[in-house]
Amino acid sequence: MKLTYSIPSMDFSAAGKASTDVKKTLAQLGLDRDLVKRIAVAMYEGEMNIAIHGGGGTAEIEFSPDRIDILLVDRGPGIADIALAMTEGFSTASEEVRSMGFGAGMGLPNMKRNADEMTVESRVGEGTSVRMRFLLGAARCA
Amino acid sequence: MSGTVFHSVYLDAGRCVGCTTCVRRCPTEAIRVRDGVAHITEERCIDCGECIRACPKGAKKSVSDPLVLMDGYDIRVALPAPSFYGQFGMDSPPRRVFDALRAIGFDEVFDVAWGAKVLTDAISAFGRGEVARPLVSSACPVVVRLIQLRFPSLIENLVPFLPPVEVAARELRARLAADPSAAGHRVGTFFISPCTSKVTAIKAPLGYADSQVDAVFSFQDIYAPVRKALKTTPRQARPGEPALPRIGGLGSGFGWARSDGELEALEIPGAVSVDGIENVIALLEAIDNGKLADIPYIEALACPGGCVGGPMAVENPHVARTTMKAITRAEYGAAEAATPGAEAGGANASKDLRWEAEVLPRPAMVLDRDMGRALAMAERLETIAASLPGLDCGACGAPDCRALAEDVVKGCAKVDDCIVRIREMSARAPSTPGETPKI
Repeated sequence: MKLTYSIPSMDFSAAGKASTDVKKTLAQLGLDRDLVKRIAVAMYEGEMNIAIHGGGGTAEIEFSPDRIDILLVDRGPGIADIALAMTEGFSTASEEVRSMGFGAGMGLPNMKRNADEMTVESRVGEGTSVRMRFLLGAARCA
Repeated sequence: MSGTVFHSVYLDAGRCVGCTTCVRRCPTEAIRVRDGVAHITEERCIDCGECIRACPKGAKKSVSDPLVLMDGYDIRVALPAPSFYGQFGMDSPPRRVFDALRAIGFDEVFDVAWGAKVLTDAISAFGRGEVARPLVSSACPVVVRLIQLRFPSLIENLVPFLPPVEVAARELRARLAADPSAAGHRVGTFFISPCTSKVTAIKAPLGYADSQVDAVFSFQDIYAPVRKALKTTPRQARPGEPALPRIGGLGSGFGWARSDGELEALEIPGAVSVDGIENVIALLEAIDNGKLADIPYIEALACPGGCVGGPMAVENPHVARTTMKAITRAEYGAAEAATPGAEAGGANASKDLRWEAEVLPRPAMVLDRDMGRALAMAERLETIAASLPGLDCGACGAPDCRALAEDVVKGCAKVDDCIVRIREMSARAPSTPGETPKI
């Protein structure tokens, strides 16, 4: 099963809507609560990234019996140095965005910490796509 | 599990007109209207009483224990919730209400506010340790059940302490056990509560096995006799001083009766208070998304204004809230030193106020225990939801279109229950009169 959401740019009143909906489905599937929490946090961070930095985009969540894959695609400026963007505390967010409590530079690192696998692809001027995979039933190292 | 779970909230089917008002107000999507009458899914009900507030016909009710239960005991102890004193106004201060309770048949009165005060100190100490952030107060049983049901990953954020009433009940039993004049007598403990969920919490405790409370009386049942006694009872009319003297200095404990009160007692900088179930849900949602970890503590109360707004309260919650503020101020430090055993954590206090049993998730939203089947059902659910009009009108008896899709997948409803869809289909299809188009 695949769920697709369109995420508008800079719409803070709608922000988090996709994550909330996905959480509902996760609850219906009866997944382990720690896994639900990891997916919720990563999904929310990704959704906010698209809204704040990405100029809007889409989130696709694909449910399989053994895993959940999340693909986040935006039409934003792209990331020049992905390794730098993965550093905790690094952020290109504007003062305005920071004043609203976002843009602390924890988004991508937080997503990576919560996902079992994550890859980031980006082209400057074209946009960024993030793939996250969550394995069901797999034991996770501390 | 169905049919065996105790719930305080119930439906008086004779009064229900099937209007779906409650269906749409229920925070856990526990209610459906079928065959013109509301039905509550027991597994999902958290006894919050929202449906009682919402029902225009008074068909949603709460059950508490009848006052005659007192008759079976030799020493009857009233345990008034802090908010009880807010029901009577400032011309009837706590000491007058205390006397009135003795006048209507209680032998002893022990304030639940005592438990709140003891807990205040214990929680302050606990919060300074290595704990999940933000801590979420467990004083409101609706919030605990809501977290079990909708936010299971936040169970670890709950303050793992017994509720104030249980702390108070254990203490009073310990004090009476040490009192020779009470020896050999049957002690009955009666919680006086504004709260449907706390009735349920006594019958089916959260975080411990058996309650020391024998019965729960609602504000509604006890209000009239106490009001009458307040008018007719002179100060201390009954012969014999109680074994449990009225405890002074419980101001901070009385504060727990209303929103902000627990925080004012705890004095944790940066702590946040939230009241009203929709506001609580929005805040829990944010915590669940990994936000708000810099907030140390959250006081979350399901009723508007806190416990003074409970479904079984009588006085207007805004008036009661103001009264409680004044009582809280007046009771701060008053007579504490003069009353033996008044100091919080008194001689017989339970050493450990922590939960004694694990609070587990309640997976009442799961479509099927088998994950593969659940996934297939979720997929069908999406397809059906996409075919529904998305008006969330509730006319089918489910709270919104997704919930109808869920019911269809579970075999509890039909797509044809959506009258909007049927209308659209019949408008589109050139059908002969009287013939329902195929869907």
